[in-house]
Amino acid sequence: MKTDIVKQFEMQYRQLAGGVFRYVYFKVSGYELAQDITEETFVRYWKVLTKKKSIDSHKALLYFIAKGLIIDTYRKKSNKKISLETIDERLLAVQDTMEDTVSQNQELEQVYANIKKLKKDYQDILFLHFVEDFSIKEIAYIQKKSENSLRVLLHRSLKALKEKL
Amino acid sequence: MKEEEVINKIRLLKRLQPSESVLHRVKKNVYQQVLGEDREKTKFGLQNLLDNVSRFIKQYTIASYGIAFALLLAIFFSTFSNLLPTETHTAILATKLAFAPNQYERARIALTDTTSRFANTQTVEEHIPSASQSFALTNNELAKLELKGEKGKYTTQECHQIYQKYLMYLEQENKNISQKNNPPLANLKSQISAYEELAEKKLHKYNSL
Repeated sequence: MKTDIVKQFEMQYRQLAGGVFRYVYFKVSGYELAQDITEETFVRYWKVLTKKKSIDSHKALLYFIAKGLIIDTYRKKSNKKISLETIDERLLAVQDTMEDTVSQNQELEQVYANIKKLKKDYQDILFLHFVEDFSIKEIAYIQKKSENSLRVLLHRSLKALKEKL
Repeated sequence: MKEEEVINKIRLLKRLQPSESVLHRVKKNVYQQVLGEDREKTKFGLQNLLDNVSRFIKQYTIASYGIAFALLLAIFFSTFSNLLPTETHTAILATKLAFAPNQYERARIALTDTTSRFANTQTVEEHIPSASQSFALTNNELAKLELKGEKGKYTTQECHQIYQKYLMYLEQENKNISQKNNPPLANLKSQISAYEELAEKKLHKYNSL
Protein backbone atom coordinates (compact mmCIF):
# COMPACT_ATOMS: atom_id res chain seq x y z
CA MET A 1 0.00 0.00 0.00
CA LYS A 2 2.66 2.46 1.11
CA THR A 3 4.94 1.40 -1.77
CA ASP A 4 2.16 2.26 -4.22
CA ILE A 5 1.76 5.67 -2.64
CA VAL A 6 5.50 6.31 -2.80
CA LYS A 7 5.57 5.25 -6.48
CA GLN A 8 2.61 7.45 -7.32
CA PHE A 9 4.08 10.34 -5.37
CA GLU A 10 7.49 10.00 -7.01
CA MET A 11 5.94 9.93 -10.48
CA GLN A 12 3.77 12.98 -9.92
CA TYR A 13 6.60 14.85 -8.22
CA ARG A 14 8.96 14.21 -11.12
CA GLN A 15 6.39 15.42 -13.63
CA LEU A 16 4.74 18.26 -11.78
CA ALA A 17 6.98 19.72 -9.09
CA GLY A 18 8.66 22.19 -11.47
CA GLY A 19 5.30 23.46 -12.72
CA VAL A 20 3.83 23.74 -9.23
CA PHE A 21 6.89 25.72 -8.12
CA ARG A 22 6.60 28.01 -11.15
CA TYR A 23 2.89 28.61 -10.52
CA VAL A 24 3.45 29.33 -6.83
CA TYR A 25 6.33 31.65 -7.64
CA PHE A 26 4.19 33.45 -10.22
CA LYS A 27 1.56 34.03 -7.56
CA VAL A 28 3.74 34.96 -4.58
CA SER A 29 6.85 36.39 -6.31
CA GLY A 30 9.25 35.13 -3.65
CA TYR A 31 11.67 32.33 -4.35
CA GLU A 32 12.01 31.04 -0.77
CA LEU A 33 8.30 31.46 -0.13
CA ALA A 34 7.55 29.53 -3.33
CA GLN A 35 9.84 26.79 -2.09
CA ASP A 36 7.98 26.58 1.25
CA ILE A 37 4.55 26.58 -0.35
CA THR A 38 5.57 23.95 -2.91
CA GLU A 39 6.84 21.80 -0.06
CA GLU A 40 3.60 22.17 1.91
CA THR A 41 1.58 21.50 -1.26
CA PHE A 42 3.27 18.14 -1.72
CA VAL A 43 2.93 17.30 2.00
CA ARG A 44 -0.82 17.85 1.72
CA TYR A 45 -0.93 15.98 -1.57
CA TRP A 46 0.72 12.99 0.16
CA LYS A 47 -1.98 13.07 2.83
CA VAL A 48 -4.69 13.05 0.17
CA LEU A 49 -2.94 10.12 -1.58
CA THR A 50 -3.01 8.09 1.64
CA LYS A 51 -6.70 8.78 2.22
CA LYS A 52 -8.33 8.95 -1.21
CA LYS A 53 -8.53 5.89 -3.44
CA SER A 54 -9.20 7.56 -6.76
CA ILE A 55 -8.10 10.98 -7.94
CA ASP A 56 -9.37 12.26 -11.28
CA SER A 57 -6.52 14.62 -12.04
CA HIS A 58 -3.42 14.66 -9.87
CA LYS A 59 -2.19 17.78 -11.61
CA ALA A 60 -5.41 19.74 -11.00
CA LEU A 61 -5.47 18.53 -7.39
CA LEU A 62 -1.90 19.73 -6.79
CA TYR A 63 -2.61 23.19 -8.21
CA PHE A 64 -5.83 23.35 -6.23
CA ILE A 65 -3.92 22.63 -3.01
CA ALA A 66 -1.24 25.15 -3.99
CA LYS A 67 -3.87 27.79 -4.69
CA GLY A 68 -5.40 27.31 -1.23
CA LEU A 69 -1.99 27.68 0.40
CA ILE A 70 -1.24 30.79 -1.63
CA ILE A 71 -4.51 32.37 -0.45
CA ASP A 72 -3.57 31.52 3.16
CA THR A 73 -0.19 33.18 2.62
CA TYR A 74 -1.84 36.29 1.18
CA ARG A 75 -4.07 36.51 4.24
CA LYS A 76 -1.15 36.20 6.64
CA LYS A 77 1.05 38.64 4.75
CA SER A 78 -1.67 41.10 3.77
CA ASN A 79 0.31 44.04 5.13
CA LYS A 80 3.51 43.27 3.26
CA LYS A 81 3.75 44.30 -0.38
CA ILE A 82 6.38 42.54 -2.42
CA SER A 83 7.68 43.65 -5.81
CA LEU A 84 5.76 41.52 -8.26
CA GLU A 85 7.05 42.39 -11.67
CA THR A 86 10.59 41.03 -11.72
CA ILE A 87 11.75 37.44 -11.98
CA ASP A 88 14.19 35.89 -9.53
CA GLU A 89 17.31 35.06 -11.54
CA ARG A 90 17.42 31.55 -10.04
CA LEU A 91 14.38 30.74 -12.18
CA LEU A 92 15.87 31.95 -15.44
CA ALA A 93 17.48 29.31 -17.60
CA VAL A 94 20.99 29.93 -18.89
CA GLN A 95 21.17 29.65 -22.70
CA ASP A 96 24.09 28.55 -24.90
CA THR A 97 25.57 31.99 -25.32
CA MET A 98 25.52 35.08 -23.17
CA GLU A 99 23.76 37.06 -25.93
CA ASP A 100 20.96 34.51 -26.22
CA THR A 101 20.54 34.46 -22.49
CA VAL A 102 20.32 38.22 -22.21
CA SER A 103 17.91 38.73 -25.12
CA GLN A 104 15.61 35.83 -24.26
CA ASN A 105 15.51 36.74 -20.60
CA GLN A 106 14.69 40.34 -21.48
CA GLU A 107 11.74 39.21 -23.58
CA LEU A 108 10.62 36.88 -20.84
CA GLU A 109 10.83 39.57 -18.19
CA GLN A 110 8.87 41.93 -20.40
CA VAL A 111 5.99 39.46 -20.87
CA TYR A 112 6.09 38.58 -17.19
CA ALA A 113 5.90 42.21 -16.14
CA ASN A 114 3.02 42.88 -18.54
CA ILE A 115 1.01 39.91 -17.35
CA LYS A 116 1.60 40.99 -13.78
CA LYS A 117 0.02 44.35 -14.59
CA LEU A 118 -3.27 42.63 -15.49
CA LYS A 119 -6.13 41.91 -13.11
CA LYS A 120 -5.50 38.88 -10.87
CA ASP A 121 -8.24 36.82 -12.59
CA TYR A 122 -6.70 37.53 -15.99
CA GLN A 123 -3.22 36.60 -14.78
CA ASP A 124 -4.45 33.29 -13.37
CA ILE A 125 -6.31 32.09 -16.40
CA LEU A 126 -3.54 33.06 -18.84
CA PHE A 127 -0.92 31.35 -16.72
CA LEU A 128 -2.89 28.18 -16.04
CA HIS A 129 -4.14 27.78 -19.60
CA PHE A 130 -1.10 28.73 -21.67
CA VAL A 131 1.83 28.05 -19.35
CA GLU A 132 0.60 25.10 -17.32
CA ASP A 133 -1.54 23.73 -20.19
CA PHE A 134 -4.69 23.19 -18.15
CA SER A 135 -7.99 22.75 -19.96
CA ILE A 136 -10.86 25.09 -19.11
CA LYS A 137 -12.54 22.19 -17.29
CA GLU A 138 -9.49 21.67 -15.08
CA ILE A 139 -9.18 25.39 -14.38
CA ALA A 140 -12.86 25.37 -13.39
CA TYR A 141 -11.98 22.71 -10.79
CA ILE A 142 -8.97 24.64 -9.48
CA GLN A 143 -10.65 28.05 -9.40
CA LYS A 144 -14.11 26.76 -8.48
CA LYS A 145 -15.67 28.79 -11.29
CA SER A 146 -17.99 27.85 -14.14
CA GLU A 147 -16.47 26.87 -17.48
CA ASN A 148 -18.50 29.50 -19.34
CA SER A 149 -17.32 32.34 -17.14
CA LEU A 150 -13.73 31.13 -17.59
CA ARG A 151 -14.05 31.13 -21.38
CA VAL A 152 -15.21 34.74 -21.27
CA LEU A 153 -12.42 35.57 -18.84
CA LEU A 154 -9.82 33.97 -21.10
CA HIS A 155 -10.99 35.97 -24.09
CA ARG A 156 -10.94 39.24 -22.14
CA SER A 157 -7.55 38.55 -20.57
CA LEU A 158 -5.96 37.81 -23.95
CA LYS A 159 -7.38 41.03 -25.30
CA ALA A 160 -6.08 42.98 -22.30
CA LEU A 161 -2.59 41.54 -22.63
CA LYS A 162 -2.54 42.20 -26.38
CA GLU A 163 -3.16 45.87 -25.66
CA LYS A 164 -0.25 46.00 -23.22
CA LEU A 165 2.26 44.24 -25.49
CA MET B 1 0.00 41.91 -32.63
CA LYS B 2 -1.96 38.75 -33.49
CA GLU B 3 -3.55 36.61 -30.79
CA GLU B 4 -1.27 33.70 -31.64
CA GLU B 5 1.80 35.84 -31.12
CA VAL B 6 0.47 36.93 -27.74
CA ILE B 7 -0.08 33.29 -26.78
CA ASN B 8 3.45 32.40 -27.89
CA LYS B 9 4.79 35.20 -25.76
CA ILE B 10 2.86 33.93 -22.73
CA ARG B 11 4.27 30.48 -23.37
CA LEU B 12 7.75 31.88 -22.90
CA LEU B 13 7.00 31.69 -19.19
CA LYS B 14 7.34 27.91 -19.44
CA ARG B 15 11.06 28.55 -19.38
CA LEU B 16 10.84 29.57 -15.73
CA GLN B 17 12.15 26.52 -13.92
CA PRO B 18 13.63 26.00 -10.47
CA SER B 19 16.91 24.11 -10.38
CA GLU B 20 17.03 20.34 -9.85
CA SER B 21 18.81 20.83 -6.54
CA VAL B 22 15.94 22.98 -5.23
CA LEU B 23 13.35 20.40 -6.29
CA HIS B 24 15.45 17.67 -4.71
CA ARG B 25 15.67 19.62 -1.45
CA VAL B 26 11.91 20.24 -1.43
CA LYS B 27 11.24 16.53 -1.99
CA LYS B 28 13.61 15.58 0.81
CA ASN B 29 11.82 17.95 3.19
CA VAL B 30 8.43 16.57 2.16
CA TYR B 31 9.56 13.00 2.90
CA GLN B 32 11.02 14.07 6.23
CA GLN B 33 7.69 15.62 7.17
CA VAL B 34 5.35 12.87 6.04
CA LEU B 35 7.44 9.94 7.23
CA GLY B 36 8.37 11.74 10.46
CA GLU B 37 4.68 12.30 11.19
CA ASP B 38 3.96 8.59 10.72
CA ARG B 39 6.71 7.70 13.20
CA GLU B 40 5.42 10.31 15.66
CA LYS B 41 1.91 8.92 15.43
CA THR B 42 3.10 5.36 16.23
CA LYS B 43 5.29 6.60 19.05
CA PHE B 44 2.46 8.69 20.43
CA GLY B 45 0.03 5.76 20.27
CA LEU B 46 2.34 3.36 22.12
CA GLN B 47 3.44 5.94 24.64
CA ASN B 48 -0.16 6.84 25.32
CA LEU B 49 -1.08 3.22 25.96
CA LEU B 50 1.88 2.68 28.31
CA ASP B 51 1.08 5.90 30.17
CA ASN B 52 -2.55 4.86 30.65
CA VAL B 53 -1.54 1.39 31.87
CA SER B 54 0.94 2.77 34.42
CA ARG B 55 -1.59 5.36 35.60
CA PHE B 56 -4.19 2.61 36.06
CA ILE B 57 -1.75 0.44 38.03
CA LYS B 58 -0.91 3.35 40.33
CA GLN B 59 -4.57 4.20 40.97
CA TYR B 60 -6.00 0.70 41.28
CA THR B 61 -3.18 -1.47 42.58
CA ILE B 62 -5.35 -4.33 43.91
CA ALA B 63 -7.63 -4.35 40.88
CA SER B 64 -4.63 -4.48 38.56
CA TYR B 65 -3.25 -7.54 40.45
CA GLY B 66 -6.65 -9.16 39.96
CA ILE B 67 -6.64 -8.38 36.24
CA ALA B 68 -3.09 -9.71 35.89
CA PHE B 69 -4.10 -12.94 37.67
CA ALA B 70 -7.18 -13.32 35.47
CA LEU B 71 -5.01 -12.78 32.38
CA LEU B 72 -2.55 -15.43 33.55
CA LEU B 73 -5.43 -17.86 34.16
CA ALA B 74 -6.84 -17.14 30.71
CA ILE B 75 -3.44 -17.76 29.12
CA PHE B 76 -3.02 -20.97 31.12
CA PHE B 77 -6.47 -22.28 30.19
CA SER B 78 -6.14 -21.45 26.55
CA THR B 79 -2.72 -23.14 26.39
CA PHE B 80 -3.34 -26.20 28.53
CA SER B 81 -7.09 -26.66 28.06
CA ASN B 82 -6.45 -30.22 26.82
CA LEU B 83 -5.37 -31.24 30.31
CA LEU B 84 -8.63 -30.10 31.90
CA PRO B 85 -11.75 -32.26 32.54
CA THR B 86 -14.04 -32.70 29.51
CA GLU B 87 -16.80 -30.35 30.76
CA THR B 88 -14.37 -27.52 31.45
CA HIS B 89 -12.66 -28.15 28.14
CA THR B 90 -15.99 -28.06 26.27
CA ALA B 91 -16.91 -24.79 27.97
CA ILE B 92 -13.56 -23.19 27.05
CA LEU B 93 -13.84 -24.44 23.47
CA ALA B 94 -17.39 -23.08 23.19
CA THR B 95 -16.14 -19.68 24.45
CA LYS B 96 -13.27 -19.67 21.96
CA LEU B 97 -15.69 -20.49 19.14
CA ALA B 98 -18.16 -17.85 20.26
CA PHE B 99 -15.47 -15.15 20.24
CA ALA B 100 -13.86 -16.23 16.94
CA PRO B 101 -14.08 -13.36 14.42
CA ASN B 102 -15.17 -15.45 11.44
CA GLN B 103 -16.12 -18.93 10.24
CA TYR B 104 -12.59 -19.74 9.11
CA GLU B 105 -11.28 -19.06 12.62
CA ARG B 106 -14.05 -21.22 14.12
CA ALA B 107 -13.19 -24.07 11.75
CA ARG B 108 -9.48 -23.69 12.52
CA ILE B 109 -10.08 -23.68 16.30
CA ALA B 110 -12.30 -26.78 16.10
CA LEU B 111 -9.83 -28.66 13.87
CA THR B 112 -6.82 -27.74 16.02
CA ASP B 113 -8.69 -28.85 19.11
CA THR B 114 -9.65 -32.22 17.62
CA THR B 115 -6.22 -32.93 16.14
CA SER B 116 -4.43 -32.04 19.37
CA ARG B 117 -6.82 -33.89 21.70
CA PHE B 118 -7.05 -37.01 19.58
CA ALA B 119 -3.58 -37.13 18.17
CA ASN B 120 -3.26 -40.88 18.83
CA THR B 121 -5.69 -43.76 18.53
CA GLN B 122 -5.12 -44.73 22.16
CA THR B 123 -6.84 -41.50 23.31
CA VAL B 124 -9.64 -42.01 20.81
CA GLU B 125 -10.23 -45.52 22.17
CA GLU B 126 -10.36 -44.25 25.74
CA HIS B 127 -12.75 -41.37 24.98
CA ILE B 128 -15.00 -42.57 22.15
CA PRO B 129 -18.04 -40.34 22.95
CA SER B 130 -15.87 -37.22 23.30
CA ALA B 131 -14.00 -38.06 20.11
CA SER B 132 -17.27 -38.54 18.26
CA GLN B 133 -18.55 -35.18 19.54
CA SER B 134 -15.30 -33.47 18.65
CA PHE B 135 -15.28 -34.89 15.09
CA ALA B 136 -18.92 -33.85 14.65
CA LEU B 137 -18.20 -30.32 15.84
CA THR B 138 -15.19 -29.95 13.53
CA ASN B 139 -17.14 -31.31 10.58
CA ASN B 140 -19.99 -28.94 11.34
CA GLU B 141 -17.70 -25.88 11.53
CA LEU B 142 -15.83 -26.84 8.34
CA ALA B 143 -19.09 -27.45 6.47
CA LYS B 144 -20.14 -23.84 7.17
CA LEU B 145 -17.08 -22.45 5.37
CA GLU B 146 -17.66 -20.63 2.10
CA LEU B 147 -15.41 -22.39 -0.42
CA LYS B 148 -14.70 -19.15 -2.26
CA GLY B 149 -13.79 -17.45 1.00
CA GLU B 150 -15.40 -14.33 2.40
CA LYS B 151 -14.22 -10.88 1.48
CA GLY B 152 -12.00 -9.41 4.18
CA LYS B 153 -12.29 -12.52 6.35
CA TYR B 154 -10.64 -15.50 4.70
CA THR B 155 -9.46 -16.53 1.25
CA THR B 156 -10.21 -19.46 -1.06
CA GLN B 157 -6.64 -20.60 -0.57
CA GLU B 158 -6.94 -20.68 3.23
CA CYS B 159 -10.21 -22.55 2.92
CA HIS B 160 -8.66 -25.05 0.50
CA GLN B 161 -5.67 -25.62 2.78
CA ILE B 162 -7.75 -26.24 5.88
CA TYR B 163 -9.87 -28.79 4.00
CA GLN B 164 -6.72 -30.58 2.79
CA LYS B 165 -5.40 -30.70 6.34
CA TYR B 166 -8.75 -31.95 7.61
CA LEU B 167 -8.97 -34.69 4.99
CA MET B 168 -5.42 -35.86 5.70
CA TYR B 169 -6.20 -36.10 9.39
CA LEU B 170 -9.44 -38.03 8.78
CA GLU B 171 -7.67 -40.46 6.43
CA GLN B 172 -4.95 -41.07 9.02
CA GLU B 173 -7.47 -41.59 11.83
CA ASN B 174 -9.56 -43.92 9.68
CA LYS B 175 -6.46 -45.96 8.85
CA ASN B 176 -5.38 -46.14 12.50
CA ILE B 177 -8.84 -47.18 13.71
CA SER B 178 -9.06 -49.87 10.99
CA GLN B 179 -5.81 -51.35 12.21
CA LYS B 180 -7.12 -51.55 15.79
CA ASN B 181 -9.94 -53.97 14.94
CA ASN B 182 -11.87 -52.82 18.03
CA PRO B 183 -15.71 -53.31 17.78
CA PRO B 184 -16.66 -50.28 19.97
CA LEU B 185 -14.77 -48.10 17.45
CA ALA B 186 -16.93 -49.28 14.52
CA ASN B 187 -19.48 -46.47 14.84
CA LEU B 188 -16.78 -43.85 15.11
CA LYS B 189 -15.04 -45.34 12.08
CA SER B 190 -18.22 -45.09 9.97
CA GLN B 191 -18.69 -41.51 11.24
CA ILE B 192 -15.13 -40.61 10.19
CA SER B 193 -15.60 -42.34 6.81
CA ALA B 194 -18.73 -40.27 6.17
CA TYR B 195 -16.89 -37.05 7.02
CA GLU B 196 -13.97 -38.13 4.86
CA GLU B 197 -16.30 -38.58 1.91
CA LEU B 198 -17.83 -35.15 2.48
CA ALA B 199 -14.39 -33.53 2.71
CA GLU B 200 -13.31 -35.23 -0.53
CA LYS B 201 -16.40 -33.92 -2.29
CA LYS B 202 -15.66 -30.40 -1.07
CA LEU B 203 -12.07 -30.63 -2.25
CA HIS B 204 -13.22 -31.78 -5.69
CA LYS B 205 -15.32 -28.64 -5.92
CA TYR B 206 -12.12 -26.55 -5.80
CA ASN B 207 -11.17 -27.88 -9.23
CA SER B 208 -14.22 -26.18 -10.72
CA LEU B 209 -13.75 -22.88 -8.85
